[in-house]
Amino acid sequence: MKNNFFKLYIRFLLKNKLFTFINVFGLAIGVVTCVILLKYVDYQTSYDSFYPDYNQVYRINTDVFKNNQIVDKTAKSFSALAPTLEAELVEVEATTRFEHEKCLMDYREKDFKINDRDVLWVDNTFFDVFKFKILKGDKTTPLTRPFTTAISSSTAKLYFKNEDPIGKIVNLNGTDYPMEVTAVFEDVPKNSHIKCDFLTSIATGYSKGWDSPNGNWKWTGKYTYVKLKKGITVEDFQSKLEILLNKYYDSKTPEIRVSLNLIPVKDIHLKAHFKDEITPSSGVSITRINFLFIIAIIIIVVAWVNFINLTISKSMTRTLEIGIKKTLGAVKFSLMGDFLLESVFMSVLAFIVAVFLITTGTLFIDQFTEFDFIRDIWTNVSFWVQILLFMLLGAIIAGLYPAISLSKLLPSKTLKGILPHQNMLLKRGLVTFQFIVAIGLIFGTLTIYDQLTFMKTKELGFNATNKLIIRAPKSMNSHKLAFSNMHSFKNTVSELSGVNNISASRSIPGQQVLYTSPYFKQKSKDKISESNYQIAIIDHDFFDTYNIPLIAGRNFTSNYKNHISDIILNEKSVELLGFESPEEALNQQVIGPENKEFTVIGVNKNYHQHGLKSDLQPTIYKYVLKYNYIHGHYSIAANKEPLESLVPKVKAIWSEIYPEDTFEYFFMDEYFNKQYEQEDSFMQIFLIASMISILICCLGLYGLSAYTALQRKKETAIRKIIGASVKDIFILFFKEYVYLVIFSLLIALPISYYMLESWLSNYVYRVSISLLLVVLSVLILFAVVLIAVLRHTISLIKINPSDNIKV
Amino acid sequence: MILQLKNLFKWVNSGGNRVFLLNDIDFTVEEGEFISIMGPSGSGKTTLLNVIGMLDDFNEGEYNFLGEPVHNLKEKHRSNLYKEYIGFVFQSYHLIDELTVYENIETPLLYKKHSRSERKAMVADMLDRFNIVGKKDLFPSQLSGGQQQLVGIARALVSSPKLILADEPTGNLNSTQGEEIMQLFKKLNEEGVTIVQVTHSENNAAHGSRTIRLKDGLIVNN
Repeated sequence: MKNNFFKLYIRFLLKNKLFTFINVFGLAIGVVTCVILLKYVDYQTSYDSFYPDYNQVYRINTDVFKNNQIVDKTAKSFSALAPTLEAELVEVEATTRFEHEKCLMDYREKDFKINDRDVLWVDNTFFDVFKFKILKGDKTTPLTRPFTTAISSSTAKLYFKNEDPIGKIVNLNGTDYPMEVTAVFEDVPKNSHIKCDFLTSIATGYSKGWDSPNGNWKWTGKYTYVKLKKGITVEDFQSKLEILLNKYYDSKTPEIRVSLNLIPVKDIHLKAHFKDEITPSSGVSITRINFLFIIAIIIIVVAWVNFINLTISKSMTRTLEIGIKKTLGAVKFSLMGDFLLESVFMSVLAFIVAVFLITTGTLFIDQFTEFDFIRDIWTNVSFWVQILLFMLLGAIIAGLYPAISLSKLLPSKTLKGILPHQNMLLKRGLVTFQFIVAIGLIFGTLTIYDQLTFMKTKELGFNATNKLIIRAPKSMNSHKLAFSNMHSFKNTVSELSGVNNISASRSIPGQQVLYTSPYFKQKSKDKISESNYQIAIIDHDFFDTYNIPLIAGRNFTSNYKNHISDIILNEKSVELLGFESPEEALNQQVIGPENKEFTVIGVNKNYHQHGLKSDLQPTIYKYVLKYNYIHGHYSIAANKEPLESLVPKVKAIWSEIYPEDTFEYFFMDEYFNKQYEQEDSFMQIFLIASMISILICCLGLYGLSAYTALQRKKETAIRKIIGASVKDIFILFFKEYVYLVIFSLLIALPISYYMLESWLSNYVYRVSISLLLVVLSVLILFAVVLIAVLRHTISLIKINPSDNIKV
Repeated sequence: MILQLKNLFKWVNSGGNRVFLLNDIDFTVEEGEFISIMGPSGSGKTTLLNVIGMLDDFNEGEYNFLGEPVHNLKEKHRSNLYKEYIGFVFQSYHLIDELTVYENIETPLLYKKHSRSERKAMVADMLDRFNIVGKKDLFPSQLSGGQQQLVGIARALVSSPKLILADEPTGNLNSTQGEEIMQLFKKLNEEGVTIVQVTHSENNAAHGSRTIRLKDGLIVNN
């Protein structure tokens, strides 16, 4: 190694601080952003691949068809499926089923209770399919007996601190379910679609009588997983499944049929967004991951482009040095080596800056829960090695062009100060590329924002403001006092000042309606319509509480016993059931599941149960609160008084009536808008990505305009002497950027239009892509360009020709 | 009378001393004159030419150009004045490398209000006059020094100025080319263009009607 290489280069960098800063900083933020995004993509695609034989494990989903139209896709399937599979198909190595429930779990001995624990009611074969490690307790058959539970190690720590959890009793939803801890298993990794704190034995259900080992072929009640033997293909197994299904399942209605489908457990997180998913709001789809992957690549390319552009420009001022080196005996090859070494050196500097940026950046990233994976970054050596390799690779790619083009310069020319011909096309091309990316990202951010605002502000058909929602008491689940307690709670609360209405219902707006069924038709018609109906369980106060108008007929009355076979339809189901008008539907008979007959007593106006991401669903409202209302809610409509001030008053009443239960409340409007979290965070990522790419672009332009100014000093002086005014000079230099922006726009527009259109097409209620936003994006880009090049353009405008003209 | 300088001073402060670049210059140019400014290096020739061309300021004194008091004019007014009436010719030509011969000659017209067809006619006239029609699409780097200087002069003349200021116009040329340029200047002068040139060469100065000699910013003979 020539020992003065670093000396020379470090002096060069110190002399050109601006160049060094822009280059190092631009590269560092580009690489950091890219690596973090890639890491995120990697994390999202790594779901459920941590157990050894994950590629043999599948979940069986159910599709429901009505007249051969698909009306429902659910993550669950028939509870009788798993036992039948094990009995009849040799391809099966193991099966397991479970149901998911959020429960109030309390450790009475220490008076320690937490609500909303994730509980899975599992078959005793659970650990045969999902090989989570059992750390303590019964390692072979922990969940065979009724009233037993296995808990995760963090749950063990939470509930039992340093005590030995094995043999302790935890109560599930009150006193009826004392569960004995028989095992502690290793926490399920975060990148799993299964989230559980407690695994409880389904044998408990058998002994209580609400479940049976053999299950049924009637409704899709359980998540069913199957582990196939090695070498069995999905196609083979799928056809066997079909035969099995035909043998046992009878829809009893010729129009309706179902099919069973296997999905590899690894694909569930990104590809399965069916009804009844365990974690329905994960919201991360494969499209989104692809989008992020593309953005990550684009950002790193933008950063490298910047690096190349700046290096080329700057090297033009070093041609004399190259000439001297050559006359002193340097050969082309060693010069190339020097230039590459310089890029590498620069990248190492950028790496140091990147370390600094990530350190400060993780504080910021903490706000995004999705970026959990990045927290262990300091202990993650492979992550850092990846970043470093990434940067070195980029350095070599980016350093190659300047190295080749500069090392072949002839000393006879460079020594005379004749500048080599600049490859303007290349430079313009690189800048154009950055502009295309900037326009695309700005335009994307604006459009996503537009769609989000549209969804958040559109009329929903019900009133979401001033609604206090309380989760129903879990201890009342199947309790004999459930119904009378509900009445006294409702009555007491409705007497509070400031309360307009209170309603009890199973689901609330913004939530999936628990029951759906395709089996509805008019009694007088044979034809069955091609849709799936939501069955919403409400009380007589529901419509008033949410200000949902009835457009025909009447509401339920307070005595539910009069309404056992009454239903209220929304407009959409009136239409789909084939009634001519809401009035015509009144007092008509509708046949539902298992040929039960219902009378239509009213029709309500459509409202958006699910926000604007999905279409209006046909919904049938029933008043059947004689059963308890698992996972139900109280909705309280308040008048102007601030909702917060109502909370303590309601809480006081709650503690009187439901002393066993935790009081949990939230506000309807906030809750409803949580549906758009996915879009919110998607927009934030877009926003950050576009800001970073604009920042890099800005740095690059700033650096480039500095060299342009240097190169065109003489020309500007001449033009001024010939008579160019300030305006002329400004236009002369800015014009070039205008052309580049317009050219970039022509390329960026169709591409981003296509991509945004495909994104928007996922929404039933969507904005159309606005020309105004295109204009706005271009204006923003112009503003950015103007800021970036202003300083050096002004320096050109201000030059005194007599200082620059005598050569 | 085209211009008149009265008791004009220009100085710079260097280490507490005042160094005079132009020292009490009194100088008049009449219409139709061909004046040569001579003197050793650093005597202030170029500075004087820049001041006359309004490219440079001065510290004290008066400068009247076509009856306008330049010392009292605002920057914008001043630039309008020289744009209108003065053409520059440089030692190293100072053509714009990225523009063709045609475009170089056209440039001054772009900064004035001339229509496209007017510009075309005026440039064509110049190309014709200097016999460089065939070279109009070439770039400066494709021309010899003498040809480049021809283009430089054509550019200076295209907007029909009253005064041509030339800073060593033959300094970068060989003697034959230099002689041709001087002949051209003489011809232009006979056609009525007033010329002020800075030169080192007595030969060139001899083409003019009058010679001014400078030394240390002072006019030593007039």
